[in-house]
Amino acid sequence: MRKTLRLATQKLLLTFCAFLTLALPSCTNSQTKNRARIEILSYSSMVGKGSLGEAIELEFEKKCLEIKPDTPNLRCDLVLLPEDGDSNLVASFNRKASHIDGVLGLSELQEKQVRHHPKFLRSTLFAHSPYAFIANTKLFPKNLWPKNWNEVPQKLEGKVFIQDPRISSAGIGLLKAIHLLKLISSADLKKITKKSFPSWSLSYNSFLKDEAPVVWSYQSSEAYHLCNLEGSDKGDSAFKAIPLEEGYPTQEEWLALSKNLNEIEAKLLEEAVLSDFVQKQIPLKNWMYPTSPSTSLPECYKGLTPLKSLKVSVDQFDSRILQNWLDQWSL
Amino acid sequence: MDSVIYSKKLRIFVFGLIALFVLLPLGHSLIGYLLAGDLSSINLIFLKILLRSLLFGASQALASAVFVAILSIAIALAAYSASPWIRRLLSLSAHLVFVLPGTALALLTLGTFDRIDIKPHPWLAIVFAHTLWSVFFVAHRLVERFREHMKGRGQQQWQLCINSGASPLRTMVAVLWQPMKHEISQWFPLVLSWSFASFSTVLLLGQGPQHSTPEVLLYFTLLNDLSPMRIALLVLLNIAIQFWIFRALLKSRRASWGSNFAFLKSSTRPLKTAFPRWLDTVTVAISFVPLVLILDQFFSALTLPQVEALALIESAMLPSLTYAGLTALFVWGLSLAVIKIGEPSRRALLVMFFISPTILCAAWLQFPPRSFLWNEGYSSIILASLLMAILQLPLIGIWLGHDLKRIENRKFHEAVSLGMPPQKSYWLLLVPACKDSIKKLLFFSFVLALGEVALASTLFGELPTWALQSRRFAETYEFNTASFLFAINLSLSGLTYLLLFVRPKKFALKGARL
Repeated sequence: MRKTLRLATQKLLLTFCAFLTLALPSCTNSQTKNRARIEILSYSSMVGKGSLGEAIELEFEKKCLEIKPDTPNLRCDLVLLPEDGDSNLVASFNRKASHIDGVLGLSELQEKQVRHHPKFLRSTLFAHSPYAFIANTKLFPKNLWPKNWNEVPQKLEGKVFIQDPRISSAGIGLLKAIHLLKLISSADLKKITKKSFPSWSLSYNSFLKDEAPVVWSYQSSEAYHLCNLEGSDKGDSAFKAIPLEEGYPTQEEWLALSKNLNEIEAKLLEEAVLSDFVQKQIPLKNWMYPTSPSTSLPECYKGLTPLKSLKVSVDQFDSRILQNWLDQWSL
Repeated sequence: MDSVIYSKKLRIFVFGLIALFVLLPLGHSLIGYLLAGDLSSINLIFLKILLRSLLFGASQALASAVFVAILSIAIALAAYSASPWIRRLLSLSAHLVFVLPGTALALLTLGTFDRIDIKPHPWLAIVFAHTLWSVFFVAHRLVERFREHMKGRGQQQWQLCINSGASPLRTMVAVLWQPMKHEISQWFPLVLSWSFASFSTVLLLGQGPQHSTPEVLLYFTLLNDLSPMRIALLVLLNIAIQFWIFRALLKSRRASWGSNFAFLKSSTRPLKTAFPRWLDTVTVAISFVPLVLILDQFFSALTLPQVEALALIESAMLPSLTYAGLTALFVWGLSLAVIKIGEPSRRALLVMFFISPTILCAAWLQFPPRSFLWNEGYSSIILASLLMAILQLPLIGIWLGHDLKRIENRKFHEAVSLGMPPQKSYWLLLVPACKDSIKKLLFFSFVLALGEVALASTLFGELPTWALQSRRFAETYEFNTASFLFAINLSLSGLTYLLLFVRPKKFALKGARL
């Protein structure tokens, strides 16, 4: 009796294994059953409660529901999905282009890459910020700072946390400084690097734990500390951007739309990211500058170190050029 | 025996799984990568990077294998005359370190060097980690082999050498040379292969493109997705390297697939040795140093605030347990199937030795069915668990094949001729005969999946596992938090070990078998 019971249990478990593998995914996978929603890929900090992504979802749905009665086929349910694990947004978009409606948060170089994809419809710039070396003044006082890019290799030698440009867009900012703006050489970049991290957030977390005196980040990182200070420390953060005479390359953030969207949906999405409601939230939720000139900045942004922002044309940019940059960095 | 238990359906099932989940996606993706690829991307700079990764991978693997060989011989020579309980302690420490996942091993290395305030060169850190991982395990095997030899011809050889005037140390080396050579020639290519294919240890300790292996290079090429041609080349190259190492492995282990690693019968009679008796105890005590370091890291991790600790446990509990549990479940199902596929087919499963988790990532990232069946959330964990289970097929084939060989044909023929249906003989005779190996397979697959990061980081999207989080915290020097996470993994592994192997009546540690 006991053996028969064991036999039956084992057979049942085997059937369960087979069911689990083949049948269950198709039942649980929302993508197969729910094509009624608009799905936009983005990086993880743009997704979830309290994020800028949530504000975009709300604004889009509001605008969409207003015109829905006249256009019944419109999809008003917008969902922001995080990218694949350690992949970058372009790779995730390339792999999912058939069922994804767009990508939010592409850098200008990434935007040039997705332009070549057959599913690409058009793109919109919604935020920007200059990159910057952010210093911890407690570990690295102002009198030791470099004044221009020529002094960077000597004064920052072995002090800087950077990001691996193979998988981080912040790291690609450094490659722009090397190859497009000729501000620093590859050899000097290696000289100043203390450690290379797979992502900006990992490098910045580590920097905040006093593991290095300087990190490659964005000017808005300084704003983050100023805006989050409380009480007597207000306006006096230890984390400051190092102003360099020549200035810094700029990071732009783009929304790229896919041909899976119809024209009205695409237009509504563009309007949503450029709306006052969303643009106002960019400085404190995305820690970048809004593109809309009419959007006023929060008070705490007024105390930021003034930095010169360098823009450069990337019209001729494609994935071969990026591959070449990455190869040279990897050598 | 095969004619009684052979099942064509199950053979089709097992090889069908390999075809559907490994060969088809791999073939499809390789063709896709080759067609989409641009041959000009295989330029001189890339070839330089590739050559450097090959040299780095080969040099660290070779150095690890050499260090493991030298150190394990030294440890075994010092410890083989130890009493049974001291040898059991060596076995315990060897097995506990051997089941550590790559991330935990890297963490242990980083923590150890951090404690003595040294920033080691990545190459050195990787060699240290790989050596630490297998040195005590190989030493444990050598100890058992030496004892086996000394209980047979060894004693006579010893006496002959002493009579001819040789010193005790020279006598010991001369007598133990043959078993030492035999055992090391089996382990050397294995350690070489493991170290070369090691992923998460190199990823974490390598710290950048200048210190990577072809496996890690493939991972990054996959992630930035810029050159399909390079991905195809790296996949083929990694398969070719593993094939080459596998051939060397086969040559060295021609007659010993499935050799029994369990304890030989313990003898209380002391064996001859050239060293003082206290040295074996000291040597075995040294083998516990890695475990003491792990425990130290674990207790440091307990200083984390309770709220933070609970949040860490909770954040990745479900994905981690689902991944490990499902992998074990699939391994169990495959084990039951492999019992019935016959010895030639079991040997054919060894083909899966050439495939690593990173190669499977390359195969599945571009395979269309993933995007509509196993694309997001827990459905991707189901896929990753099945892939992990399929990757264990060579081990399943070897271990179960060894168990099945020990069963006499006659027993089955008698059972069948006495009227027992073949189906019943399978459940009542074969499955119980393989019970111990299946339990070990469940344990190993559970532990492997708990520490796995390659498939988890590419297929799971934003679902975190403790191993992934541990890797990320280690990357930001947060050793306490990272240690805490891998201590959870370790505790769970220990709990699984207790549940599977330790019974109230029989409190014996069972050795692993390869």
